[in-house]
Amino acid sequence: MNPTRPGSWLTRREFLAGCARVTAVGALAPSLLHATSGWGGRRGGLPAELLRSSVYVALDADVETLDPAMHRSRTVEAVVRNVCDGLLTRDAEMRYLPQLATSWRVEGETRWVFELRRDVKFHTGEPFTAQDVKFTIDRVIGAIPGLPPSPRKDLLGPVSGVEIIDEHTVAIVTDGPYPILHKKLVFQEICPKAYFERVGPQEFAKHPVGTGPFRFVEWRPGERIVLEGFDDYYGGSPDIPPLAPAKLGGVIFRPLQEAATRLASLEAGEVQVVVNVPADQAARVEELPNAHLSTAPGTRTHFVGLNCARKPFSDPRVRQAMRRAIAPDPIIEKFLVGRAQPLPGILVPMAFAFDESLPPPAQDVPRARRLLREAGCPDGLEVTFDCEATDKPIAEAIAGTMKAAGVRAEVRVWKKDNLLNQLRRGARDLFLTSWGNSSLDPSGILPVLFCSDGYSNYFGYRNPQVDRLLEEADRSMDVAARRGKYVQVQRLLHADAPTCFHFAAQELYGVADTVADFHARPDGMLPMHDVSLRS
Amino acid sequence: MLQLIPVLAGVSFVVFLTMHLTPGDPVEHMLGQAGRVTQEQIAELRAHYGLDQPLIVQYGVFLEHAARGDFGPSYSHLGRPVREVVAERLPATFELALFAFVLALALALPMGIIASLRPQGAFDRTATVGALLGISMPGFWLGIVLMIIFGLRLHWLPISGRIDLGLAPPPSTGLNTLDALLAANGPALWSALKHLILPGAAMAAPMAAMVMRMMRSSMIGVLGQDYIQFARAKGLPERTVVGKHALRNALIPTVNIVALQTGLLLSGNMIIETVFQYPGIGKLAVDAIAAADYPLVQAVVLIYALSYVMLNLAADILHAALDPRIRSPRSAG
Repeated sequence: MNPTRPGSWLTRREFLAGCARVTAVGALAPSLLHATSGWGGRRGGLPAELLRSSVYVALDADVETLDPAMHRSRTVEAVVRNVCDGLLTRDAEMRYLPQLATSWRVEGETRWVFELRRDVKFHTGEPFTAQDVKFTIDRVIGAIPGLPPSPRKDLLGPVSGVEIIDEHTVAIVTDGPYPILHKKLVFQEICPKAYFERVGPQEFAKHPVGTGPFRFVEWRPGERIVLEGFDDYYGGSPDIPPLAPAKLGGVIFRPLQEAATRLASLEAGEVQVVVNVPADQAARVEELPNAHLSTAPGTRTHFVGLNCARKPFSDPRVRQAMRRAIAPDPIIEKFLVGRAQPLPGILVPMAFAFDESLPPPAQDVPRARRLLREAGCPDGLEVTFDCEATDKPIAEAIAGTMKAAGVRAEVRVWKKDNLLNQLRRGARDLFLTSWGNSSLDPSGILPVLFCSDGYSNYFGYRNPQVDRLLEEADRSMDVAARRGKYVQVQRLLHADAPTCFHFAAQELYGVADTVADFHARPDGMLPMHDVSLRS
Repeated sequence: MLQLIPVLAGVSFVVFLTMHLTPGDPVEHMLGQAGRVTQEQIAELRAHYGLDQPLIVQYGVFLEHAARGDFGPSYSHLGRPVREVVAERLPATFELALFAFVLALALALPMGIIASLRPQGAFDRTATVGALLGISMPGFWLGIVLMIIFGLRLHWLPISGRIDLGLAPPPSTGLNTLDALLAANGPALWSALKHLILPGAAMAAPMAAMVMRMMRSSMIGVLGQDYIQFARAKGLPERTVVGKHALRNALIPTVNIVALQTGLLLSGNMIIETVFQYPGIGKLAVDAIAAADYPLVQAVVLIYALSYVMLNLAADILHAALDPRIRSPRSAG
C-alpha cells in the first residue's frame, strides 16, 4: 500500500495510533479528574453531614417563588410551610390546632383576638411579635402601599385589618362576620417584618425567613431547594408532639415534573419521598423492595358538569337522567385502580357539613331512560363530552358507561386553557373538570362554583335559594346554623344536578423504607418536622 | 448591527400578538383552580399587571420594559422581575448549548473529512447511516432512549439535574464546568460534565449529522478541483493538501450550516431541557407558555432571536475570514 497515494490522508498505522491515543485520553480523563480532588480546590458544595442527614423529596411541580404571600401553588406552600409557621396549623387528620398563636377568642362578630407565643425566634434570631402578624396579614390583604398585590387575598375573605393590642396580642378585624377566619389562617405563613423591610420583596422571595423547624439554605431554581434544621425551634404546635427541633438534619426538595423520572429516582435511591404517584403506578411503588406507598384521601373533587342554561341539559329531567346514566364502579376500579372515592356531591366526606344522607352515585339505566323519555328524548341523547387531554381516558370510560342509558357522548379533548376559556363563556354542554378545596370548608368551593355570579360557575346555574343560603352561611357565626345551610345547599344541588359523577382521587406518595414517620396528608402539605431517617 | 433593532421589534410584535391571541389568562393561572376566588381580586390583579389596558398600550409598556432591559414583572414567578428569573437560568442553557456545539463539531468535522477521503468506503457508509439516524431521530425520543440505556439500565450517567448535590462549586460564572475549573475542583468538574453528556448528546446529534453531511459533500467537491490536483502534482504532502488547501475552501459552506444549526440547537433545548428536567431557559419558556406568562415568554424569545442574529453575524465574519473574495468587493469575481 502506498502511504501517500491521493485519497489516503492517513496510513492505517497512523489511523490506528490516533484511535489508540483518543481512547487512552478518554479512558484516563475521568480518573485524572478524580485524582485532582487532591488539588485542594475550593469546595462550594453543601456540607456532607447535611446531605447525609437530609431527606430528599421529589416535587411534581417547579417552585416559582419562596415568598409565602406571592403564590397560589400547593407545591410552594408545601415547601415554605417547613420554613415559616402560621398562627394555626393542621395535623394529619386535618384538625385545626394552634401553632404561633396560643389561643383565640371572637369579640363581637368581627374581632378575633389572638394570644401569641412568647418564646419564638425567627431564623435571624429576632423575636416573633405581634408586629410580624400585622405585617403578614396587611401584606396579603394589600394594606401596605408599594407592594404588588398578593394572589392570596381572597383566602382571607373579608379581613380588613390587624390591631396590635400588645407585643403578644393581636386583633384581626373583619368587614362583617367571618366564621372561618381561624381555618383560613392555616394558609398564611408568618413573615418577619424587620427582615422583609431590610431585604425587600425580591430578595425575600429568594431567601425566606420564618419561625419554622427548617431554615432556608439554598435555592437553585429548577434544581433544588435546601433547608437545614433550625436548632432554636420552639417545637411547633403543643398538640403535635414531640415539642423539639426537627429530627432531620435537613430537607432537600427537587422539582421533577415527570412522574416517570420521580419514580425512577425513588427506585434508584436518589430521593426518599415522591409526591403525586399516578394511580396506575401505585402498584409499581408497592412492589419496590426499598419503598412503600403512603396514601390519604384527596381534597380535590373531579366532576362532570352540565350546562343548565342550554339544551338539552336545561331540562332538569335530562340532568337527573345523566346522574343515573354513569356507572361509577367500573371507572373507579379500572381507570383509577380503586384509588379514588365516588362522592354524592361536590364536598368530600372530610369537609365541614358534609351531608351523609345523600346517596352515593349509582347507575340506574331504566330510570335514566324513563327520565330521558319524559324529557322528550325517546331515542336518547347525542352530545359532545369535553375534557382536558390528561382526563381523556377517564372521560372515555365515563362516556362508555353512559351508552347503556342511551347517552352517546363523543369525547373531545382540549388544551387546558382553551377548555377553561370555553367553560367561562358557558359555551360547553357536558364536561369533565375539577376544583380543589383543601380548606375543607364548603365556603372554599360551593360559592365559587354554584353562586349565580360564581367565578367558576361553568354551568349557567342560577338558584336564588342557593345564592341566599350560601351568602348567609358565609356570614353566620353560629356553627350549627352554618352546617344546616350547607346541608340544605347540598340537597338543592343534588335535586338540581348541575354536576354529576363526583369523585376525589387519593393523594399517593412513594416513600423509601429508610424514612420514618412520614404521613401522606389530604392537603398535600409536606411537614418534615417529625420525620426521621432510619439508620 | 442596525438590522438588529427591526428584527427584534418584529419578533417581539409577532410573539406579543400570538401570546394574546392564544387562549389562556395569566390571572387565571395566578389564582389556580382551588379555593375561594372573587371577581374583585381578578380585577385587582388584572389592573396591577396592566392586563385591563388595550393591547396596543400593553405592547407599548412591554417595549418600554424591554428597552430598559428588565422586561417587567413575571406573571408566574409573582413578585419577581423577569430579568432576574431569566438570568438565573441562562447560564445553564448556555453551558448545555456550548457543550452540544463543541461535541457536535468535534464529531462532525473529522468524520466529514475522513468520509470524504474515500467516498463510498466503509467509514463513509457507516458515517452516512449514522448521520441519517441523527437527522431523523426526534430529540425527545433520542433523549429518552439515552436516558433509559445510560441512566436507568447501566447507571453510568445521571438522568436529570446539572451537578451532584454535594459538589456544586461556588457560583461565579454560573457555568458549573467553568466554576469547577476556577475553583480547581476536579470532582465537581467531572460531575458537571457527566450531567451534560446525555442532554448534550441528544441535542448535538442532529447538528452533528447535518454538519458531517455538509463537510463531507463540500470536501468531495473541493478535492476534485484542479488546484488540488496541482497541489498534489507539486508534491505537497497529502496532509497539507487536505488540511490546508482543501479544508479551508470546504469550510465556507459548512460555516453557514453550523450557524443555522447552532440556532436550532438553542430552540431545540425546549424539548431536551424538558425531557432531562434541565433547569435552563428552554424549560422555563415551556412552563411560562403554559402559565401564559407573557413577559417571560417574550424575554426568552427575544434571547433566542438575538442569539440567532448574532450567530448569523458571526457566520458572516467567519465567512469573510475564510474567503478573501467577500472581504473586499474590489477583489471579488
